[in-house]
Amino acid sequence: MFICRLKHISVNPAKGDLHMKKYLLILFIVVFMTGLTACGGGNSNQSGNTAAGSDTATGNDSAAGNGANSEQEISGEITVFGWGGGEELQSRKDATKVFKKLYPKVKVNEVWLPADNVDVKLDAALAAGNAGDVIMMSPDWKGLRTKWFEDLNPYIERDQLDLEALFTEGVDGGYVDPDGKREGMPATASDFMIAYNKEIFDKAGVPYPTNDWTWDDFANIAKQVSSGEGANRIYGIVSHWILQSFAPFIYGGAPYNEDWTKQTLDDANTLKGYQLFGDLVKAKAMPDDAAAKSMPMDQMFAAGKAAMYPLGLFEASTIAKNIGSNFEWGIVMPPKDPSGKTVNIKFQTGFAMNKDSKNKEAAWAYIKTVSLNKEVGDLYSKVNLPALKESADTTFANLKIEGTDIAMLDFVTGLQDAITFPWGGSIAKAGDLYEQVWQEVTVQGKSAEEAAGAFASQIQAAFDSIHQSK
Amino acid sequence: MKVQKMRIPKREEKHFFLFTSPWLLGFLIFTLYPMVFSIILVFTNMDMTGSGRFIGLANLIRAFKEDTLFYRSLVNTFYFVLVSVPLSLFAAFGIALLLNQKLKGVGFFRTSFYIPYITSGVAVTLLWGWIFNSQFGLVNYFLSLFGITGPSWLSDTRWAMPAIIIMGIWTIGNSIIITLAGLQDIPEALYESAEIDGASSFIKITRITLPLVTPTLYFNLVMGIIGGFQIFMQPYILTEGGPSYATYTYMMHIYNSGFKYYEMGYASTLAWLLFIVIMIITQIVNRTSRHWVYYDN
Repeated sequence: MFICRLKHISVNPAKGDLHMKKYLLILFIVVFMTGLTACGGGNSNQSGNTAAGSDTATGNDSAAGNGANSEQEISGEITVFGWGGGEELQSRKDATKVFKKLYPKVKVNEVWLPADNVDVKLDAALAAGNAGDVIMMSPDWKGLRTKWFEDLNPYIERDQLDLEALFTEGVDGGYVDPDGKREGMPATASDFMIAYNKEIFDKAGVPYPTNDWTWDDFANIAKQVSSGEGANRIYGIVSHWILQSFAPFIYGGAPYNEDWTKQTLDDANTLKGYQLFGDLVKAKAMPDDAAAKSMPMDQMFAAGKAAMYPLGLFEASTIAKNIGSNFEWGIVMPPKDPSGKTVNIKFQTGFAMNKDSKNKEAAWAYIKTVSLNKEVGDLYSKVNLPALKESADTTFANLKIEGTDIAMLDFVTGLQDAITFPWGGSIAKAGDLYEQVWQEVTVQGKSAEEAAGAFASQIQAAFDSIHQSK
Repeated sequence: MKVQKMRIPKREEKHFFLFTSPWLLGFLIFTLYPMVFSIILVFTNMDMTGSGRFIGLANLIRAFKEDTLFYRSLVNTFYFVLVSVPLSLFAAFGIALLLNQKLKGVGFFRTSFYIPYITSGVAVTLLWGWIFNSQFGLVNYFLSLFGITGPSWLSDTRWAMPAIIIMGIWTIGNSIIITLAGLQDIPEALYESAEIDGASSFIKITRITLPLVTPTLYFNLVMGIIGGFQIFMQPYILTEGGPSYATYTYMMHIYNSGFKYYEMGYASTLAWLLFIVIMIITQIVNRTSRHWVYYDN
C-alpha cells in the first residue's frame, strides 16, 4: 500500500520508479527482519554489565570465591542504580561516600532516578544489560525482577554474618524469596504510626488511644471523636491511601496466601476488615470519596479536620511542619488484631546484586557497607529507619520528629510485626483489583461480601497469570 | 491528454533522497519499526525487559474470552465517543457561526476559544478536578444558585464520565478554528443571492452554510473519532479509571497492561485491536460521507 502510493511522486520515470520502489521495499524488509530478530524469546539477558569493571581482587567473581576480601584488595568499577529525592537521595549519596572511603580503589558510578520513573527505566536498563552492578530494590516488588538478582546467601555465609543479630527486628522480612533465595540486603525501612489530635480528643471527652488498642477500639473512637456536618465535619480518621493496605489484615485475615498463588479475599476475617472501613464511611467517621477529594488528607489532619492520621515515617517531618503549633498531637502504634499482634505496613528499600555484574566482590562490598556500616546507618537515621540494629536502637531511636517532642522509638517497635506493602511489583494487577474492592466498599457503599463476590475470581485469575508467565 | 513527464537529472534525484532521508529515517525508526515490532509482540508474552516466548493467538483469545476489562473499557470508550464527538461537532459549529460575525473584538473571542486547546493538559485537568469538586467546586456552586444540588461528579459512577466529556468539550478550540475556516470559504455571493430571494437566517444556515461546510465537519468528525477513542489523560489523572471502572477507558487498559502489569505482548494486542476498531469506524463514516458531504465539484 505504502509502496504503491509512491508511483504518484516519482521524480524519474521508468527507471526512477523502479529504483524508488526497490529502495523502499528493501528498507521495509530490513525493518521487518530487524523486528523479528529483536524479538527475544526466553532469556534475553545480555552477557554482561558494560559499566562494571573487572574483579582484580580474586580473579574470580563467583560468590563462593576465595574468601572475604579486605578493603584494600577490592578494586575496579561498579555502577549503583537507584532512586530517591530530597534528603533521602542525599543520604544515599552520602552512604556511597562512606563506601568510597572504605574502598578507595573502587570507582563508583551512581545513577539516581526520581522514584516515579524508576520502573520503566530500570526495566529498560535491565533489558539493555546496563542496569548497574548494584540495584536498589524493594521486597514489595514480590519477585518481579528476581531473575536479574544474584543470590546473596553464599556471600553472607562466606562472611559469616549473623543477620538476625545485626538487623533491626522486622527490617529483613521479604528479602528472602519463598524458595530461599536472598534477593537483597535491607538498607532502610519505614512503617506507620497513628497520629492523633489531642485537642479533638479532649473536646470529645475521649481518652487518648494506647498501644494496646484493637481495631474495634479504633472504630469506636473514630466515631466518638467525629462531629459537625458538611464542610465543618471533623472526621475520626482521614481517608489515607494506606488504609486499603491495612484493611485485609486487621482481623487476622490476609488478601492472599504466602506464595501468592491463591487469593483469600473471601475469608471471613479479611472481609470483616474491609467492612470496618465501609462502616466508618457510612458513619461519616471517615470522609467519603467526594469529601476526601475536597482536601488533601495531610492538610485535612493538619487543619484539625480529622482526629487521626496514619503517619508514615517518610512523611513525619512534613506533617509536623504542616501542623506547626496548630494543636498538640501524639502518636500511637496501630491497633492490634484479635491475636494481639500489632497490624502495621512497612515499606522497605534495599540493594541487590546484578547477577551479570563483572565485579561481584566490589558489588557485595557496597551492599554490605550500605546495609551494615554504622556510619551509613547513622546517616540513614536522619531520613528513615536504618536496617542496622545498632543505628536504629541508638541514633534513630533518640531522634524526635522534627519540631516536636515525639520520639521516633515507636517506629522501631512498630516495624517488628509489620507486613511488607502488599500490592507492589508482580502483584500490581491483583492489587488494582483489590483497590476496586476497596472502592466498592468505601465509595459505592456495597458490603464487603458483595464486593468480594464481584472481584474474587478476577483476582484469582490475576494470581494465576503471575505464575503462568514465569 | 497524456501528461509529459520531465526527465530529472540524477543529481536532483540524489537531492530528493537526501532531503527526504531525515524524515524517512525518523519514520522508519520511530514509527514503522515500533509498529512492526508491536505486531510481532501480539503473538508473544513479552514483558518490559524483553523476555518472553511465542504464544500464538493466546493474547487475542484472552482479550475476547477472558478479559472482562477489555469489554468494559471498550464500552466506556464508545460511550465517550458517541456522546462527546457529536456534542463537540455541534458546539464547534455553533461557536464558529458566532465567531464568523464581522464584529469589533471578535478576534479576542476567537483567541479565547482557542486558548484551552493549547494550554497544558495535565495542569488544566487538575483544575477541572477542583471545578468538579462536589463540596467546593464551581460547577456545583453555580448549580446551587438555581437550587440544584450537584452530584459528586468524579465520585459517582453515573456522573464521572459525563464530567470527563464536559472537560473534553472545553478543548474544542481547534475544531472551532477549522470550522471557522470552512465557513469563511463559503462565497458571500451565495448569501447575497439568498437575501435577495428573501431567505431567512435559518434557511441560509440550513441550505447554504451547512451543506458547504460539510467537508470541514467531515474532517472534524473523523479526527474527533480518532481522538475520542484515544482518550486517556483526563480519566488517568482525575479518576484513575474509577469510580468502579466507570471511566476506565481503552487507552488506560492498554497503558496498564503494558506499563503497570508488564504485559507488553497483551498491550500490543489491545493496541492493534483499537487500530482495527478505529479503521472500521472511519471506513463506515467514509462510506456514508457520500450521502451527506457536499463538495463543490
